[in-house]
Amino acid sequence: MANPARSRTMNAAARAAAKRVEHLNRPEEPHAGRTLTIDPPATDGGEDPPEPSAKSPESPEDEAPSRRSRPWLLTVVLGALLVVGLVAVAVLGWQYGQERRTESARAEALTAARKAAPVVLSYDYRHLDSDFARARTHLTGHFRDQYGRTTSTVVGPTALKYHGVVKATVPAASVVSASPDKVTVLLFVNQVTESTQVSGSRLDLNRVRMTMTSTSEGWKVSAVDAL
Amino acid sequence: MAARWTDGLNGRALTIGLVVATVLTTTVALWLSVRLYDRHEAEQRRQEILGAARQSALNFTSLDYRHYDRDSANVLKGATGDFKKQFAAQTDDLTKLVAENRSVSEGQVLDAGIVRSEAHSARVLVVADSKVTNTAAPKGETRTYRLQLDLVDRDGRWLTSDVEFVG
Repeated sequence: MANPARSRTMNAAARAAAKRVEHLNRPEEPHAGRTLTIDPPATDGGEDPPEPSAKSPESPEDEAPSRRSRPWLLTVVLGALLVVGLVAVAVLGWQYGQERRTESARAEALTAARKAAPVVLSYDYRHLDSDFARARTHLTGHFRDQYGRTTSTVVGPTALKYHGVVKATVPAASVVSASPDKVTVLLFVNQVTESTQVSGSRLDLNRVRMTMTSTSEGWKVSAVDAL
Repeated sequence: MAARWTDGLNGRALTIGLVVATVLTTTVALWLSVRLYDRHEAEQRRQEILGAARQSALNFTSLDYRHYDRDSANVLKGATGDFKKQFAAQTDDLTKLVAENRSVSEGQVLDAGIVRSEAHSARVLVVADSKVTNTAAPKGETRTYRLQLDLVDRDGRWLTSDVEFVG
């Protein structure tokens, strides 16, 4: 990386040492070796900072030292800028990725919640097992186990005893908070219950907060709280 | 001579490469910054919307006959459009009614979520309860609410333009 610059500098330095006084020698010496090695990048390179080399040969004394040190400096400065830029891109890129994931999480989790809630919060005493099994496909984690226990020990027997049929619908759904892997949603849930304990049917206007968790099989319910 | 030429060309290529890479990196970093800023603003907007909706719901579930003027003024401060008109139109009747019944409603917001939010309008669900005491229920009874609020951005403030009790 730095070799061209170094060799250039050493060439010049050696030449300068040999002639002892560079500044005195310069004007006498034509552009022979020096211009060949140094000028091409300066005059041809469009990316290089404008160097007045070709245009102002009147002041070679001022140019010579800076021209020798500039490739070094430029490389170091550009390298440093590039490193800073790459670090910034890495950090910003990660954050942007998180934001994008959060945004899609918000929409996907809400859709999944709307779909899961009626299934999880409904049952019919005539086919409890299939209802609960279907509901469990929308659940994950501890809540899935907990749901399994509750339905088999409490909800199931009660439904059988009183011929319970519960139908849940979701008239409105919203997002409370979201992160790439976890979204909290707030749902209004209407539950219509029919059983031998109620005459006709009973309508419950429930308020349900659900936690949705991202799994390898999509968004699943990991918690349900009735408010 | 030839070797020096090559060195010079390598140096130039390196410089050009570095400049191009730096320019590209800076461009990408700037683009990401702008996009992130947008997202940040959207998140901030959502928080403002939720805060305004919670406050609005709290205001009109917290009405006390002993200072009904102040309480209803609070509601109107955060209201606009149809909701403001309707509430303002009922104020006189309600003032009389709550005074007669010695009605005190203490509101509490349990949770709130965003249905949708755009640059200048939003829809929010709010879950609220209130403990209501009046001459009919001196010991108080709890009422539960499912509210759907529409809000609009008026000069940087989010105001409630519609309230629906979701049945």
